[in-house]
This record gives sequence, structure tokens and C-alpha cells, in this order.
Amino acid sequence: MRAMKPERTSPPAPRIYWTLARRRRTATAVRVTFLAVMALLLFGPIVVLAVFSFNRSIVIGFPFRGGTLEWYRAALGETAAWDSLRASLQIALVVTPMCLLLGLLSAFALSRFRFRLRGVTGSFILLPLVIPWLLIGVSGLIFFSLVDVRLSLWTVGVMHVVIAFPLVTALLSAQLVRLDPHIHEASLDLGAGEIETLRHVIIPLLLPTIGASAVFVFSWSFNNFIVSFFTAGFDNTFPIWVFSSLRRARDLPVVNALATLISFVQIVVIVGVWQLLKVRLERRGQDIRDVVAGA
Amino acid sequence: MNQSPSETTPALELVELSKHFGNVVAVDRISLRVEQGEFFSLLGPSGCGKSTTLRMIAGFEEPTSGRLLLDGQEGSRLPPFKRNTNLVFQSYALFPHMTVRDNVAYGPRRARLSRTEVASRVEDALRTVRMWEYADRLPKALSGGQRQRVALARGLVNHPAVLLLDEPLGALDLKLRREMQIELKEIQRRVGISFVYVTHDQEEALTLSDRIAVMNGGRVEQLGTPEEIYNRPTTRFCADFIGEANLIEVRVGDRSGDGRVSVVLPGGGTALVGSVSPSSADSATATLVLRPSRVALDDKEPPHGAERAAIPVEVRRVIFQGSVVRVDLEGPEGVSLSASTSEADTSDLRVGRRMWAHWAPGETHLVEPTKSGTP
Repeated sequence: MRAMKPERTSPPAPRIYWTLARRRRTATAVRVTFLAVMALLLFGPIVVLAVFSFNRSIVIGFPFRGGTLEWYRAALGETAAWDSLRASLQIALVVTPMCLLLGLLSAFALSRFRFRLRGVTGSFILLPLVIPWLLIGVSGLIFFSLVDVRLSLWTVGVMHVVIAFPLVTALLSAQLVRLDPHIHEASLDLGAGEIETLRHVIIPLLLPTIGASAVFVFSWSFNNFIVSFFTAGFDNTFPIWVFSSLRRARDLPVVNALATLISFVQIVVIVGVWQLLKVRLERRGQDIRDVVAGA
Repeated sequence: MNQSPSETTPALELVELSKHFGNVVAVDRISLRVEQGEFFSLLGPSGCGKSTTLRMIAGFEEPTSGRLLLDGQEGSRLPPFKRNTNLVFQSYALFPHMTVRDNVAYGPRRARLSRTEVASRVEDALRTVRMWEYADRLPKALSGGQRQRVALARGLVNHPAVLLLDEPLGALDLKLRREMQIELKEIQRRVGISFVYVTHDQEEALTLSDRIAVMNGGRVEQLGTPEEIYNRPTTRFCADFIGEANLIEVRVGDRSGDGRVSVVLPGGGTALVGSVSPSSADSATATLVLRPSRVALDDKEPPHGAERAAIPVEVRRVIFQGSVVRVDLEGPEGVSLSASTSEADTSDLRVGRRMWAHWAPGETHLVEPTKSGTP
């Protein structure tokens, strides 16, 4: 494209050139506008909330009555909120390794072995990715009451595993399929059994994808509201606490402050992990986008 | 091949080894032995069963029937990681997350060798393939030829009974392939490990091998030294697949008592033949194998007899191929043959010119006629 730019010494460019250039400028303008509108719609509300968490007024809205850390101070005293936060963290910390294990096993089964009903099994495993979480939440509730299991953080954890591990399956099997099968054979040929091959070759090669999966699963579990809402019983996860607090108008700024704080921490952690993965991958000459997009 | 009792156990012996995939017979009762330190090639077109044979030796395919002896021990039921064989893959299959050093050390480490033993073996192997300077690189940072060397070192370092190579030079360009051929042969001679080399490139097989098994349709068509295979092909397939050959259908004339056979050439002339393969014995017609490089062209009819055999031909095409010029000819009864000459000046070889093609009878062979033999 840059080659089209006329050099100073060249004869006056023909009219067609100017038409093309104008068209290109218009296209760029359209693209930039589109992206700006999208970004505004996606992130605007979040930024507005974050800004208003520093507003002195109890009403979340204009006018801005001057900055304060009052709501943050109040948030520190909200023991119920911190309890729910701890619960959410605990769940995510248990759910993540479970999902990685299940995802790894199922990805292996689907991509490495040819068995009867493989296609059916694959669709079945990936089904939770396309079923609305509302339905999954309600059916979880019905299921647990049918089998007479008391709802608690444990039932929430089980449901989180159900919705999140298929994501790991999808990411890992995409990666496994891309792996040269001869690498696996080479390891066997050089005297390693299947377990040793898994340990020294397959897992290290999948590690970046496993890391990326962990980030996704953790944030899915930590942020999930709807499935948790139906299966938590009298226990609270952080998103449930936020939802229940919304009904009391005077708590609103506190909720807002806490949510802003948590979002900030999450963003920092996720970006940090992402950068860590990226640096490690670049040292091995890989691109992180390949690992996640599977392209 | 096995009338002579050998003092040493062969590195590898296949006895009536077969592999069936459902109804398809990929490898059909092949028997062969590879001696200690021998460079042995399995040569054939794609789908001839050579790769399946190699994978059976490596342990990635289980034979349907037959026996497989490694250093004299039955090995056909051992998993790959318990066999004293190593395979060099066409795709190299280096571990991308490990340095060259760790790739090569992988086998010795799995064998639980001591740290110092691993280090010295790895250094030996990498020096053998002239890759020691690259020990700390990742495979990504190497060229195709360098990866090839590392893959070779990764096999050699384990001192296998046989090193198996599956078209290892297939991914390299022609010039590099030639260089690697010479180097490969040199390395094999130095380390003295038996190589079983799979290739579809006949030139490569002729260059590298001590012995070659020519495979077709899951069976061994001919087994012998490169000279035997090239000079005395025993079947039509071998003659056609190895090097270039004129295949001329002839009637078998006299089978005299002293073993010499004469044939009736197209156009009625007779000629003696150099050797007769068992595949053409006792048949009234046969195929005469004549290498284009052995065919000479002349304007005058050469004196017939024991020294020269000749047929009249007409020049059809002259093709410049660099170091040689190929001349396509048409003889009597529509028979076509070609001659190749390295003579610089071929400007007088005009299309349509009538000449005599002649050759020394001793350099021809008789194999089975068309539509017989190979099922």
C-alpha cells in the first residue's frame, strides 16, 4: 500500500490515485469510529461506575460532588462482603485445578483415541458451553433438591466445574490436534513410557495453553453469578453479595467501591499472568496468540 | 542368501513378516536379514509397504504374523520403548521445547545413565554430526539440514542395534540432500551401527546402501547389492524402477546348453543376452532390459555377432538434460527405446534420421514378459 505514495520526483499522479486515496481515508475513518463506539459501549459504563465510586454523593449520577474515599472506608467494614469474597476465592481455587484435570483427560480422550461414540462424547462434553447458564443454574437447583443434597458452596463448586471444564477441553484439544504425532512416537522410541512422555514432552508442550485455560476458568468461576445464585443456598459468593446489596439503595456506593476495587485487582492479576506467559513463550519462540486462538 | 552360516548374529532378521490392515495386505511375508554394521535400504514406490515394515521394526505397528529378531532376540511384541532400535522421522520430530542438548540427552536419561555418562555420550553424538556448537539452541533456531543432524544424533546416542531412518532426507532440497547423503554414509561407517533406510529415491538407495531390498506391493522383489540390483535386475519392476531402462518385448530363441540364451529382436535380428532372471525361465517371450547409457548410435550397420547386437532405428526426439543428452528412438514394429550420450556435440542428431542402435549383448538381461508374474 505504501508503495502507492507518489515520490517527490515522480510526475503528477493521475486523478485515479487521488480517488483511491480519498476512499482509503474514508475507510479508515469508518473503522476508527466503529471501534470507538464499540469501546465506549463496552467499557464506558464500567469506567463511569469506577469514577463515581469516588463521588461524595450517595446517588450514582451527576452532578459530581467532589472526590472521597469514604465509600472505600465503608467497604472495608463490610464483613459480609469480605466473607463472600473469601468464599468466591476458595471456590475458584478448587474449581480451577479440577477443571484443568478434567479438561486434560477429556482433551486427550477426544484427540488421541479413536473409539466408538467419540463424536457423541465430544459434543456431550462441550454442550455446557452452548446451554444458557440460567438453564444450567435452574437444572442444578432441581437436580440437587431431587437427590437431596443441601445447597452450599460445594454445590456451587460442582456447578462451576460443569460449566468451565469444557472450555479447557476445547482449548487443549485444539492444541493437541496441532501437535505432531511423531513427537509422541519419538519419545516412546527413545525409551520413555507413556507416563514419562506425558511428563517430559506432552505436558511441557501444553503448559502455555494450560496456563491460559487456568486464567479463563478462574475468572469464569470467580465472576459467575447466575449459576451460583441458583445453587448456593444460604451461602454467598461475591457476585451474589453484590446482587443482594443492590436492593438497599444506601449501600450502593459501597458496593460500587468494592466492585471497582475487585475489578482492578482482577485486571492486574490477569494482565500480569498473561504477560508472564507471553514472556515465557517468547523465550521459546512462540506467540501467545497461537496458543489461545489455535490458528 | 542364507546358505552361508554366519559367525555373528544379524542385527535384525525378519522372518515371513506380514501386516494386514483389515483386508489390505500392506506387507506380505517378507524375510530378510541385516548384518551388523550394514547399511540396508528398503526401496520402493509409495504404498509398497516399506514404511509399514520400518514401523513394525520400531514397534509402532504390530505384525499380523511372522517373526522379528533384534540381535537374535524375538522382538515383535515389545513396545517401542523397550526395543533396542531408534527411528529418525522424516519430520525430525524434535522436541520443540528442549535445546539440542536436551533433545539428544532424552534417550540416555530415560535409560537412567549417570549424569557424566549422559553428558559424554551427548557430546560424542553431537560432535559426530558436527552440531556440538549448537548444543544450546532450540530446534526453532536451526535450519532443516541442522535439524536433520540433531535427529540423527538423538538416535545414534543410544547405540541402538539398528538405526531406522524413514526418508530422512525427504524434506531437504536437492543440493543439501546430496551433501547429507555423503555425510550420512560417512557417519554410518564411522559409528558402525546398522542402518535400515527407507526411501523411494533409487539414486539415494544406490549411493548409500551396502544392500537394497526393492519392495513392491508389500513384497521384496529383489534383494542385493546396488551393483546387482542395477546391473542384473531380476524382475521387470526392478529394471523399470531402478535407473532408466529400455524394456523391449522379445521372443526367446535358442536356449543353448551352456546357459547362453539368444532372443529374436523386433525386426527379426537375433542377439545373445547377458543374463536370464528366473522370472523369465521357460517362457516363450520375455522382456529385454537395456540401459540407455549402454546404447550406442551409428550410421552404418555394425558387424553382427557375439560382440554387438543391433537394430535399425529412427530418431524421434533429442532432449538436452544437462550432463547427458537423451535420444528417443523408434525401431521396427513400433518399438521405442532411448539412448543417452554424454557427447557434447549432438547437432547432427536430426529428428527423422535413420541410424543403428547397438550394444554389447553381455550388458542385457532377460526378465519376465509383460502381463505375467506380479499378481
